[in-house]
Amino acid sequence: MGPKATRESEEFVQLMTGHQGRLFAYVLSLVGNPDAANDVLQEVNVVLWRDSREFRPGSNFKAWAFRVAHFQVMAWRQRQIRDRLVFEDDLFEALATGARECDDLFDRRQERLTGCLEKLTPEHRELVRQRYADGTPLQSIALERGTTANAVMQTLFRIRQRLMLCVARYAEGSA
Amino acid sequence: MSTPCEEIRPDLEALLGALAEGRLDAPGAKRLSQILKEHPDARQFYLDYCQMHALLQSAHGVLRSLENPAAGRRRLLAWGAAAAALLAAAGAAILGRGSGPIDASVSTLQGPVYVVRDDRRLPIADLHDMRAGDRILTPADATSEVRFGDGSRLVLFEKTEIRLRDDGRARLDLRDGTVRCDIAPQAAGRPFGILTPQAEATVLGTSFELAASSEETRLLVRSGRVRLRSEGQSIEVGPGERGSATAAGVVRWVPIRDLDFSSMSEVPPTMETIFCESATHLGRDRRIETVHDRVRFGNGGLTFVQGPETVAKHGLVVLKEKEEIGEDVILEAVVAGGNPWSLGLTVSGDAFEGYRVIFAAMEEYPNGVAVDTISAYDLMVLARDPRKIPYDRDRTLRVERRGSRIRVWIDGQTRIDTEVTQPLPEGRRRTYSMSNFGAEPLVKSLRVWVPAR
Repeated sequence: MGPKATRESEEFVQLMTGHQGRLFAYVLSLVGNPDAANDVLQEVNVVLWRDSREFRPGSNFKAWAFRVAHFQVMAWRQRQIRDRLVFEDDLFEALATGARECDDLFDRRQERLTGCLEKLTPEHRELVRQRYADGTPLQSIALERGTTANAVMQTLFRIRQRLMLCVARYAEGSA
Repeated sequence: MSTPCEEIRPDLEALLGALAEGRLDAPGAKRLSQILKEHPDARQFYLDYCQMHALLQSAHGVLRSLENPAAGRRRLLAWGAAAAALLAAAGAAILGRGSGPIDASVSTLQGPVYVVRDDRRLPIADLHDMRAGDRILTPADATSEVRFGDGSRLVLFEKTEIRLRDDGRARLDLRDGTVRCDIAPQAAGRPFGILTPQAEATVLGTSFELAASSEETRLLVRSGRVRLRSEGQSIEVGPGERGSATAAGVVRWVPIRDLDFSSMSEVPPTMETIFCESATHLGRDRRIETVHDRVRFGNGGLTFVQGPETVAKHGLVVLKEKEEIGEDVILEAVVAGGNPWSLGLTVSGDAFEGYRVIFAAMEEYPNGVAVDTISAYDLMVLARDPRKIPYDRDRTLRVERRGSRIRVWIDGQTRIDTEVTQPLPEGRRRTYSMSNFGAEPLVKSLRVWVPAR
């Protein structure tokens, strides 16, 4: 691989890694299960990497990646037993449209997340860190804190809700 | 952000909590689908929620930078294996880029100072440069200094942590503690920004003090102007003014009194001195009189007169503001060190009717700090911090009332943070006062701020 090809590969990887969060959000919205979303995202990454030569630097990577992601979710849905799908077809389409619109706010919300995380109480921040940075299982967190997994789940929901409100305030306030 | 209606909120809370943890069962999925079909507002909430889960998944770096340093080994959560493999193959060079250099130097003014880079604590003697991401920590009883290439200078007081930045938005994060800033004039359009957990201070060239904790940011501007932004609100804080930012928003406090007692020879015309003998000051028959010989100036400040008994009876001496100033106020007094002393700072009324904060650097009540009131003819202690106040050096005492909350600091360290619910007399004047009952203090100065109207 020559220097130009190496540079282009690096740029492509940079684009891919930079879009992982928003792609995961999109896929998760459509499949309704984080494990399934991770599986689908892996497939999306494989397709993107495989077809990277088709991508012209400077063109719209996000639009292309979202198209690939949409097709991979459709393929995943076809492989599922109908009863196991969380969302029926009409709702699925509505969510896909909404998720693409929601993505327009992704960058601004991501930019504000640090400030919002810093606003959490130290205890809540530590819980988020354990859950997301360390990947500590819910049950282990519950054991360590002398509580139940359900209680931890509920607390995490409220923290996410609080963060949603915080990043939305910032993002919409600065719009 | 949309908020789902009340009737479905409990269900949605349980369902989305389970969804993020991969614990949504078939009946739960069916119920979620039904809710999202019937409630468009819940649909938007669901999409925002999924996005937040994804944002947090991709925030390892931020979360690790916020972590408790005492925490044990960390395990990285990676995205899917394919992305990880691609990163390993081709992305190492991209991710391995170091942080940009910063034209700054750090030195100690008192005690140790630490610089943490890449999770390693480095002695400043070994530092050849400063970089974006470097954290500078000043422990208890220490003070350090950071000088920037443009001439700007920061003094970091004890228990302070900052992190240097070079992202064009701000020059540093103030995570905890207090910094005094002398900022050199900045190029137009490129202000010197400081981010705190609640706010963003934008500076064009000025001198100010900024203090941050997990719940509040406090600003005192000495010269120039500083813009403080938080929660979509923005205020411009000028010389002598204070700003504060909490989850409830930002407030600009304007100075109404700046009294340097070392340069005075008599009580300012806006104030008066009143007195009540100790034998009756807690009784319904208390007799409060206006006096003119219970406050003296000299030796670099103001002192109260409590005797000798043959000359002047002991009692509660109160120097009060004549004007009404309202309930919310910040009082800040500097008391000279050297001898034991006791001083009351009262808000929402004078020392007989308002909430008193008694500071006692002596072995008598409250031997530390207390918030009390004698408005109901009895001493009612509302909050207390029994930690002793050493009288070896000058102390800066600060009291703030905002709403029902009263907070008390000594030398910038919080000593009491309490809600007061004890009712005060309805007809009282909403003023403030300084008072003395125990050993006489030498008060060097008093400054008073109220919220900007």
